[in-house]
Amino acid sequence: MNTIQQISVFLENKQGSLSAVANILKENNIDIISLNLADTSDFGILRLIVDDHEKACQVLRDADWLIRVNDLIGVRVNDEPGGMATILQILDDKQINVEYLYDFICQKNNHTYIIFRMEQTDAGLQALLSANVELLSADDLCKP
Amino acid sequence: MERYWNPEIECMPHEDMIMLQNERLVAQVKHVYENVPYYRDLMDKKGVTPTDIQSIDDLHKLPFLTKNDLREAYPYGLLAKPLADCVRIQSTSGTTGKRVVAFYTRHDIDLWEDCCARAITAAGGTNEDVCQVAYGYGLFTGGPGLNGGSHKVGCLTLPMSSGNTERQIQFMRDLNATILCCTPSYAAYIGETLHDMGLTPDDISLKAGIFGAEPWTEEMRREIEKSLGIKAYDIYGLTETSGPGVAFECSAQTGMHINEDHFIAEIIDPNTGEVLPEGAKGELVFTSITKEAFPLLRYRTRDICVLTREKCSCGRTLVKMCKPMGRSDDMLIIRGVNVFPSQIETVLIEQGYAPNYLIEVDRVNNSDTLDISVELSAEQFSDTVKDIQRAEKELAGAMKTMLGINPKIHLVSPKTIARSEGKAVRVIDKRKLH
Repeated sequence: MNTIQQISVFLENKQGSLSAVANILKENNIDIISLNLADTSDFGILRLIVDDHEKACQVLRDADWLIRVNDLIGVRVNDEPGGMATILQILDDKQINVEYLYDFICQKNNHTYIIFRMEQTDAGLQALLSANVELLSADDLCKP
Repeated sequence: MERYWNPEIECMPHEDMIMLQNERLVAQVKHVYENVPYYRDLMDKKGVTPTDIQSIDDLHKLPFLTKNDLREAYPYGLLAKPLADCVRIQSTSGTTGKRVVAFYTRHDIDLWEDCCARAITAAGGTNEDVCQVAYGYGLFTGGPGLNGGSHKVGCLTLPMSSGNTERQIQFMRDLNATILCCTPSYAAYIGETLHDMGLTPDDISLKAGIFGAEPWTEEMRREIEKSLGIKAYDIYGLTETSGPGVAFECSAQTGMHINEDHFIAEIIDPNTGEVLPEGAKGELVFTSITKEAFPLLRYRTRDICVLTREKCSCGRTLVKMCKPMGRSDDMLIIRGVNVFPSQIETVLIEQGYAPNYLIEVDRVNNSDTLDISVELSAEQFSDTVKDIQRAEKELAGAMKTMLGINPKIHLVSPKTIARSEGKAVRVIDKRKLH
């Protein structure tokens, strides 16, 4: 499967929640590859991609954090005008909705990585594969 | 000069009132015993017959009725007249799905409206006045009760119902309303809106307000009086006894006169049920001695209160009750609506949430706020903001349906709200109302 597993953590909007999660990961020697924080006035959702996914889920659950795991799709895009538009067009053509996305800058090779959360993950994968888009695995992210 | 709607009754010598009450109580007990099997059973269980009740001194022999009885007897179990004789129902916001429904014959509506007419007259109302009723209309008794009272007095009645505050103020100005009837928090809000519109009390013609259906303080009274340029009068009632007008305030503003020709008031110890002497603090109990369709005997209001019979400067001889000082159950009155924590728990369970919650009630700018913190479960948690907000909105909608008011929902992490180990604090009321 060419998907990347992301852990989402529910954060109440109060001081210290973010650092509490960061500390658990630190204590367990888990490296954060990428993170994204969605927040409202009431709560936040911390989205993490880490080097040791299984272990991170375990330690967060043990510490009573509310988590959810989702499969995301990562693509390598040329860092040039139109790079992202090309990908989005492919998804649009197949009427696949993007819930959210974030990018992940890779210094080498003039490339950037974009990580998509799609409403229909399988259909999204198919669409991108048939358009010969290069999909990333978790390993690609860990060793950019 | 003090005005009375019915001076013979309102200023009747106490001894005469007792005789009137004796006569009406004896007849009422007989009526209930013969027509309400539910209450007859309670009397039989206690070994009391109608002949045991010869005067109000025998009142203590009768069994109590509680909100629970009303729920068990829902909808017709306490009805004392054939439905063909009933012309109206009113209802309270319900607990765990079941509402309290009260029935009225034409006579019952008439006496209720008469009580409200006394309140309006005591607030200075005459047929020269324009009375703006901004209580909710419908099942809630506030609007219909004051509307009826206003008609009786002969005021030009503006049946505004609540909400649409700018329009309220426009009508108030265009039609020169002189009396406003609504909840105290809505009165305060109208006052603020008036100010926000760049207007002052000089731009309106209001002289008096009759405010009830929820607890309010003397400070709030002074604020409302200042912001609207009026004298603010309290009014008390509950759907079970008919609605607003069971008791009303006079110009002395030192408590509410109970309409004793219709309702006998007692103060009891909420734990033992023992009747307490005059001046003692306890739970207020009402016996309705004139209502035909829904005549509750010894109904426990759960309001903690004191009765006084000191001579009132207004000239009325009717006993006075203080503002309720609290509740002997866990009911909250929020924006005039009765809310029980058990209702909130029911909704949470129905919606698939853990029954761990924290209710916070506050009053911000004289308007009640209801915040409910709820634990989010793994099933409800999603990585997208919109899913969580949708869950929040659905829960708020279900709460609104059950409670009749809109709460603010706060989703929190699991296991962050104290479990009910012994005494979990479920409700924090920051309003300092008593």
